[in-house]
Amino acid sequence: MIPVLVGLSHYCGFEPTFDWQDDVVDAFVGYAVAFAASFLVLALFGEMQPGMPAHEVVGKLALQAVGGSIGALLAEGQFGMRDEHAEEEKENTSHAGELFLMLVGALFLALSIAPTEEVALIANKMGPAQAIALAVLSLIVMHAFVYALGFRGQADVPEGTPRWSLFLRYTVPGYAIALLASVYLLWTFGRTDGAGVEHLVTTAVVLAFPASIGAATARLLI
Amino acid sequence: MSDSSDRKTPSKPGAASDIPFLEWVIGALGLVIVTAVVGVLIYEAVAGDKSPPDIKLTVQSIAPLQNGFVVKVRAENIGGEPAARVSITAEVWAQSKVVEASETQFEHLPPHSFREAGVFFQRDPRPNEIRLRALGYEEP
Repeated sequence: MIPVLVGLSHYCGFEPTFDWQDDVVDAFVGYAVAFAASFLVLALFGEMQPGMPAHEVVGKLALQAVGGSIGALLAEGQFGMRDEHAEEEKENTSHAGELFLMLVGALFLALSIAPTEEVALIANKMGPAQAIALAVLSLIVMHAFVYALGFRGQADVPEGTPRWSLFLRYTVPGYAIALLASVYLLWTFGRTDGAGVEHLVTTAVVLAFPASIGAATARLLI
Repeated sequence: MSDSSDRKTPSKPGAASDIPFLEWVIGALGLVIVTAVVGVLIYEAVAGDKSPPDIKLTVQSIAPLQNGFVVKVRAENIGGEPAARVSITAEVWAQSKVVEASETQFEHLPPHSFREAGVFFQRDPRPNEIRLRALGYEEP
């Protein structure tokens, strides 16, 4: 998780950063803030009891802090004053940076959905034909975002670039990232244990639907 | 990045005419992943296993507890359709009689997947035969 935070700090952190050391420090600050905030919120909801074993306390905090730390680093982009440095950083986002932001968006949105029972439940109800249709829909929605929103005013997509070129260079890798992020999260939450290939693929496609929307709209969040 | 003709702001990465080779490599890699996923689904749709749920039950382990014993059971759905709320019974047989019976349920058993559960007994089932049987399921 930390490498993702370091990268995120580079692209949009809560303060302008100048070198990678700065980014690493910011990433840890973001994680620490999220850790403390998670403790406060979990304690308020009665999820932190005196009799709880240490590994449960740490586990709950670490899990909550993952989403929280991404939020902490995104806060600047969401509420903060947009300074010129940040704008400039955005304008200059490279292809790799673009895909990295997609990964963050996918993780951020899918993180809260992956632990639920519903993903596997929906996958169980779906036939393969419906799963294919969902994958195609995810690609269409992603491409619509990539084409219409993501690159508005972008210098690195000149006019006249054919649509298929954008589709192959941004949408397809973006959806692949959403799928991989989904598999990673499902694995983290033990949802892949004992699952057959068909079930695993269907579950990944189900979770990749919100993940792909997160990936495509990452640019709006950040 | 050398001399792109039709751009207002030259010398920025990812220019129009000379898209870096790496971007196409990543694009191709993404295409492979997406095609593989859709390929698996197409295969399942066309030639996939459509047999009804077939639950294979095996005893994984038996362990003593403070207040009895637990028999860990592994349920594998070797059929092609998913099953929900699969209830099973476990019976301990001694001298062709049921000594003790217990039951549990599996919430979801996707096709070609397995889950584990435990059934509790008061007496030690280890010297005797344990018979496992799936009673029924619900279509999800």
